[in-house]
Amino acid sequence: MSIQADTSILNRVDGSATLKSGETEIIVSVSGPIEAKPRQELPTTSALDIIIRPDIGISTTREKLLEDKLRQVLTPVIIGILYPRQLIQITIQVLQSGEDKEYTSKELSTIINATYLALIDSNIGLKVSFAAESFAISTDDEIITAPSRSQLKSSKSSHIVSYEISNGKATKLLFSDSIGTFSENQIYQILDLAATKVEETHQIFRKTIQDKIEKDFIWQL
Amino acid sequence: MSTLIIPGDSIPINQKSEQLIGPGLHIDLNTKEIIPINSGLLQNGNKSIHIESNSKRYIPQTNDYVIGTVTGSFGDIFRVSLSNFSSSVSLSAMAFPNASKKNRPNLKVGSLIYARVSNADPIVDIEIECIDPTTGKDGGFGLLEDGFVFDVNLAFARNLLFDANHPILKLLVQKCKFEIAIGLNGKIWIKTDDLKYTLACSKSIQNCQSVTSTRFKEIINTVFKELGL
Repeated sequence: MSIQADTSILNRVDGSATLKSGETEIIVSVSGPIEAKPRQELPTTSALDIIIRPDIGISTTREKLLEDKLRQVLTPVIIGILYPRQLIQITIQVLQSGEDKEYTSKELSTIINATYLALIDSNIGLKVSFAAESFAISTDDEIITAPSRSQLKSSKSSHIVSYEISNGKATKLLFSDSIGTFSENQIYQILDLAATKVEETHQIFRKTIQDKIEKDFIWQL
Repeated sequence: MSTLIIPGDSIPINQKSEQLIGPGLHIDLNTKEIIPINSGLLQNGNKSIHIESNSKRYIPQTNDYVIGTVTGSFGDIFRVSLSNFSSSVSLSAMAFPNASKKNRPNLKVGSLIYARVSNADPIVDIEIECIDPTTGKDGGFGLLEDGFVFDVNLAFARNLLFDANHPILKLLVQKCKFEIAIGLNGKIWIKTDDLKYTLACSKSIQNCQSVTSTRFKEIINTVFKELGL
């Protein structure tokens, strides 16, 4: 599967990234820490405002669900106590969904990865790196990594797994979500497989970040 | 030279000597470990360790020199904006040289000031002051009259301020005379005799952000030529 990533693409926000992984393409912008509205303010930590816009039409309950899942991933990773009473606003525009509306796995895994890059670009304090990957189990019980639209449609179940990554190794399970029918054994297989897959993805991101830092400090050369 | 570090990496801390930890590093409240929280280049010195990273959003730190816009005044306090959409900081009318109840500084909404961050605890209101605490004089701080303000990246602004012999400033000095104030919040104020020179200087500095230092001269020459100077 091909992954194309780029950072600092929007110049009026604090951090931004695009990510194209397979058929799915996402653009993410991060503004923050900025002044929160009184009703959003949290006294000891930063508030997270996540907005997901679909590729077609207006946002529905599906996008609200994605926002909620992304929040589950980001809340333990962002060091909120550094920015008390501040707001971190993350806006996500889906450019190409790459899957039918009844599925969310490919979109969500790309959103998690793209948000990681945008947060790095915005220099917001993160406890640890993270990456996600999507999977599907086909009707003949084969595990497919990063399924295509048609593979997903004919699958028995779809999964998304996200790991924390420190020193290039997947350490802690951050998020996992599955829809469909599957056995306990299969989910453990997927979790194992996901650990190696997110490490591979992370290597690509490391390269992207290296390029970004080189571009940021080009005037030092 | 310096190595790339991203959140989650372990950092080489010298156990024997005492090191101050600077920006980009954070002590985890649960594990008490020192962890990198930003991605950038690790600067590991004898006495200090920090991560040099670039960003656009300014987060006030004590003793930073900043350029702000006055957005309002309430009693003895001016509200000052350091960057768009960030919470504004407060500037006491008493934080000026020779200030007293009767001698109030003449700041209007929209005035630009050059100041030092005196208290940057994120849980309370951040304060800035226009006074040099060692001498009690203005120390170059205060109202910035006329001139022009533009934005640059924060890492670039730091480099420009901390390096007194910065090649860009040396090259610009050869072209024209100017007054400059560099704020660590990524704002640069410049004032020259002629608008044309102001434009040329600001454009030169902005364009130099995205090229290697070997090309500074070329960039500055082209900008000045384009404006017919």
